[in-house]
Amino acid sequence: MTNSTLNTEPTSKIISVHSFRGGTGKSNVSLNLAALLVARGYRVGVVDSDIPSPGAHVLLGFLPDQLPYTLSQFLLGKCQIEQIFYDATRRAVFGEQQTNPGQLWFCPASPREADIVEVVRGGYTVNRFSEVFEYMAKQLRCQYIIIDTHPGVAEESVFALMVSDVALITLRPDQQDLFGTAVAISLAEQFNVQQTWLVVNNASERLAEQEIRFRVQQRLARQVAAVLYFDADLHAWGSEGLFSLRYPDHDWTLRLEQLAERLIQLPEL
Amino acid sequence: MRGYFDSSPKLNRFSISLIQQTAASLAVLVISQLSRALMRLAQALWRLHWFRWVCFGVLYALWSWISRFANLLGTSDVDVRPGVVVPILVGLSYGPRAGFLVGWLGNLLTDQLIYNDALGNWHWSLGNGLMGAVPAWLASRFGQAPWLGQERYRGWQRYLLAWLCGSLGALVGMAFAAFIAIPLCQSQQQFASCEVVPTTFAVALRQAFWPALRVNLLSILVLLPITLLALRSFSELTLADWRSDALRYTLMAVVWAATLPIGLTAVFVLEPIQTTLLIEIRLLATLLLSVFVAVVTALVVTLRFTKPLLRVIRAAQAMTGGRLALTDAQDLRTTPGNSESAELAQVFGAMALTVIEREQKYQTTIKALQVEIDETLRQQQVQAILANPRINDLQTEATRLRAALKKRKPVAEADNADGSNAETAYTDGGNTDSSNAKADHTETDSTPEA
Repeated sequence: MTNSTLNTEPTSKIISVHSFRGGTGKSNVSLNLAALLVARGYRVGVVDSDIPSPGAHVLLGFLPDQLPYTLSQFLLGKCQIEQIFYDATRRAVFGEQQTNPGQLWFCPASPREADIVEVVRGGYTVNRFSEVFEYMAKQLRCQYIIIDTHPGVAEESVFALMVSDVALITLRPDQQDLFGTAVAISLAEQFNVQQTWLVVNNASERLAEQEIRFRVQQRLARQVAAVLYFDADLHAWGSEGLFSLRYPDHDWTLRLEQLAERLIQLPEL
Repeated sequence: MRGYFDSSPKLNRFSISLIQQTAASLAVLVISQLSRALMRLAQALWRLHWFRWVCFGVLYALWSWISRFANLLGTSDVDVRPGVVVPILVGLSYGPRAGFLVGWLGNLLTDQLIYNDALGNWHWSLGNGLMGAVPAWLASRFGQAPWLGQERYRGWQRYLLAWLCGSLGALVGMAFAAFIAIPLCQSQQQFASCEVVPTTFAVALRQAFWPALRVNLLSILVLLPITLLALRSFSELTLADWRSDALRYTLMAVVWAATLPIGLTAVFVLEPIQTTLLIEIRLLATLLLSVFVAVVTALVVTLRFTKPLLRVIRAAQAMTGGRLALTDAQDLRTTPGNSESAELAQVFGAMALTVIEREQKYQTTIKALQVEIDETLRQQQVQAILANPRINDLQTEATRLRAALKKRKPVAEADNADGSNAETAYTDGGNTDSSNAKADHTETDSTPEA
């Protein structure tokens, strides 16, 4: 790097991870992707904006007691913004293997029932979300901000879509998801999202990758960024920690790594 | 309560059957324990080498004794002697010493059985011993170690070598026995064979050596290769192979088809015969019956064996055409039995089930992916979302945020801003000493400028 390129601060890329239905592996994709970026030395922030059904903290091994302040409290105005970020770097690198990791900032949604009910009932202003992203970009200086959204077209999900540079839409190769994804693509176009990437998750082993890519492309007129094969290993692993750390050489991990590589190669927007 | 007492006769009957059952199971236990002990004894004895040689010697003797009736060539009582392969095979399998022992002992016993004089012709026993030992020694000269272990020769070479060694062994053994008698008989040694074998070399050659050699060579040439082949197959046979349908059915067919004509003929032959015509009629009847039985046996056995195979073949054909029903596959998988044909059906059924299941899953997914997206519905949904009055607020805020984030700031300014705010960010217990080179480039590199 020369000094001239350093004249400007690197801007943050916002990646929002969407899906039409639950259970397509949004949290898994978000956090494993984040871990892979951290392993490459980047500062990454992950926001669990799935307020009604938070789950990302489980993958990082956070217990509810360890998360006194969360995005939910901040949206309700019950805490300061600097209180809701947790350094999860150690949870996203495997043991001592990683010598030069980046940093992972995690902004959880509250796993407590009472908080969930309060936020969902009470509502909040979008500006609060804005503040969170801005804080991550400017104060925490995250190079990548990954937003794990609530499935469907909830308000916060639509907002995440609007502000994102890259919208990752995870889908399973079935009819319902295809339609939902089609709607999401239309919305992304409407909101001028620069990159809309389709990630086919939980593809059956039997389906050839070319077949999936061809069919999805035919229906949605979009390239498929990655086909992640559903696997008994992943299923058995469930939501216990980050799969990519445990199985760095697994096909699922390697394919996600290609996606991370593609994110890194993305030119400044 | 009353009903309970009423049932006492039943109880009695029950107790009797209990006693019977106990006795039966005790008997089974005793028999099984006894047979197991006998098996163990046999195994222990078999491990003793001398016991083995004695067994083989007895086998040789019995075989010679049983086949002594055949008198095709006019040799004294021992004309066709299929038994000679026993010492030769033992020699080839376990070494010259074992071969010698079996040949010697076998002939001794044969003489005892036939002439009631075990030692009268001891030179023939020695000759038979040599016939067992010499092939083994010759084979080891050719580099063929004990026959049932590691073998140097394979295929036809193996049989040629066995023939060669066996024949030479017979030659040496018989020559020894026939010619040693000349000086012995001349020196007033009393052998039984001194009466039939005169003391000149030419006569010994013609009347003792050549007939004996001829008889043994015949057996060696015909039987040795067959027995070697059989032995090899037997040594390769494991207990699991007896599960085989092919083996069981073939054995059944061969035994049945072979014993029937022999049995019938034996009955006819043993019966006092009156006329030649009757004999011919009976023989013809035997022949026809045997052919009929052989054909029926072959048909029954083959069908029993091939039917399950044909079932699997048909299922495979159906599967190739995609017509194999799930129930058929399940039937195949649950085929009873543990023979190889049953196992084939079970394995094929299991495979077919897996493939069909996978295929169905595949087809459903493909079908789902083929369904066209309803464009009208898609537009409706998009419009419905965009019609939400909040969308505009969201969009305004999003535009502001994007602009704020994308604004490129000079390094110094950015650093200042960071310097003041970074601490607040780290106060919540974050790891301040980030070792990340990439992220820290701006800080470290720009410090002198600032």
